[in-house]
Amino acid sequence: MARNIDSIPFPNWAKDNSLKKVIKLTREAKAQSSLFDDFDYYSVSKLSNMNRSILVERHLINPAFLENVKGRGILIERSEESSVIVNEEDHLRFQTIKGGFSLKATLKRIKTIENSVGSYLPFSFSSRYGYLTSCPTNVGTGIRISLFCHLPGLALSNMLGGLFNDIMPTGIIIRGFFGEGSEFSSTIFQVSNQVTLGFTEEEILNRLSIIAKKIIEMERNAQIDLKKRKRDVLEDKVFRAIGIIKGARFLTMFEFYSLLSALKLGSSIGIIPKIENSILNIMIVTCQPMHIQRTNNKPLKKVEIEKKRAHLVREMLGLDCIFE
Amino acid sequence: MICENCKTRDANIHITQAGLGYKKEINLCTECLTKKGLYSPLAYLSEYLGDILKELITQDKSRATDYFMTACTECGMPFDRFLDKGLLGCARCYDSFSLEMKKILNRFHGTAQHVTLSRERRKPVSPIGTKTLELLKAELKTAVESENFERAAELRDKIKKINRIEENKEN
Repeated sequence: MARNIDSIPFPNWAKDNSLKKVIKLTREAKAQSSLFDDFDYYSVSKLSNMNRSILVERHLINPAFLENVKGRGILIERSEESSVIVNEEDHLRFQTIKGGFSLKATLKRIKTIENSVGSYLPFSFSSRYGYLTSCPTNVGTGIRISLFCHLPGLALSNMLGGLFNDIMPTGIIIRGFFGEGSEFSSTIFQVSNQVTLGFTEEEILNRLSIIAKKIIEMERNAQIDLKKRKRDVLEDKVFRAIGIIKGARFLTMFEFYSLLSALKLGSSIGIIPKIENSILNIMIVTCQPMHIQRTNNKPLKKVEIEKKRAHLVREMLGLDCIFE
Repeated sequence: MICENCKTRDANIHITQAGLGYKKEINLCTECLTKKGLYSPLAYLSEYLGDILKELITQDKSRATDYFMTACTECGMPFDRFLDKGLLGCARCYDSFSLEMKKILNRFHGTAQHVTLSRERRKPVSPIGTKTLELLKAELKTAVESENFERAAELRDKIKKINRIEENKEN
C-alpha cells in the first residue's frame, strides 16, 4: 500500500532534507503507537551489502531500492510479516506477507498499520484521484494485492496460454516464467491487481479472489485429469527430478525451482509421500544465493554456491546422494 | 533469440505477463535476469508495470503533444522527466499536468475517478497545493531580505508560471 506525506515532494524528486524529514516523521509515527513495538528501523545506507541482499531475497525490498541507498530506510516487524519501506518510489510503502489464501486477513492487517501512521501523518489525497502516488499506476487506493500460485498442472497441460488470454481484460495481471516446451521452468505465478483506481480496496480484493479461486480450480482439475490420463508422464517428471536431486553436484536457481515444482506436484498428487509445504517454502528462501553465502565465512564463487545448493537441497529433503 | 537486455547472449528465459489489454513476452538471458534480481519467480512486479506505463506514454509522445504545462507549478519538475522516468515529482503534479494525467489514468486504469471510502473522511490536514500566490510572494520577500537569492529565483519562476496559467485561464 503506497502513501505519501502531504506537501513533501516524492522521493525521486525530493532533496536530501526532504527525505530526512520523511524518515524523521515516520520514526515519530512509529514511536506514538504500540502497534510498532515489535518493529525495528534500519537505515539502508548503514546495512552491509550482505544484509541488503538478504532483504531482497526475503522479498522485503526491491533490488532497484538499493541502486541509491541515501535517505532510504525500512521498518521491519520482527516476524518479518509486515514492513514499511521509507523513501522508495513513494514516501511510505506498507507491506504484509501471509501464507495461504489469506487475502482478507492480509488486507485487514495492512489497513490497521496504515491507519495508525495515517492518524499521525497527513497523506497526500485528492477527492478526484484518491491517494496520490509517484507513479500513476498506483494512484487511487494505492494498493497492490498479489497471490503466488503454483500451477504445474496447467503448465503441463499447455493451458497457460489460454489462461493468460482469459485474464487480459479483467484488470488482473499474471506473470511468471512461462517455459512451454522448455525443459526447466518454474511454475510459480504471481497474480495481482493491475488497476488501483476506480474500485474500493474490497472490490479489488474480491475481483482478485474470484479470479484466483477460478485459477486454483482449473489447476486442481488439470492435476486430476493428468493423473487419470498421463500418470506415466507425471511419474517420469517427478522421479526424474528426484534422480537429479540425488545425483546433482551443482544446482542453479532455475534448475532448483523446476525440481522443486516437480516435487511439489508429485507430493500433492500422491505419486510420492507427502512433503510438507512448509519445508518446500523454507527451501525457496534458504537456497537463494545470499542465504547460502551467509552461512559461509568467506565469499563464495557462483559454482561454489551451486555446489552448496545441491548439497543443501538433498539435506533438507533427507535424500541420499548417489555415489558419494 | 537474443537477450533483450544485453543484446549479445542467447535469451533462455521467457517471462510472460498479461494485464489489461496487454500481453508481452520478455526474453532474457540468465545473467541479465539475475542482474535485474528477477531470478526468483517471486520477484517484484513494479518493473513490469513501469514497462506498461512507458509503453502508454511512448504512444502519447508519438502523438502531437498538446500539454501546455512544461513543468509543475509546485515542485518545478519538467514534464519531460515524467515522460522519461514514469514518476511524478510531487502530489501537485497531478494538477499541473492534469490533461495528460487524465488520459494516462483512463488508459491504464480504465477510469480517472477515485471511489471514496467512508473511512477516508479522515482527510489529510491540508489539501494539496495550498501554496497560493500570496504565500509564495511573502516567501519571496523573506528570501530577498535574507539574501537567499537561489531560493528567490526559484520562487520568482514559480510565481511567473502561476501568473501565466491564470492568464491562460482568463483567455
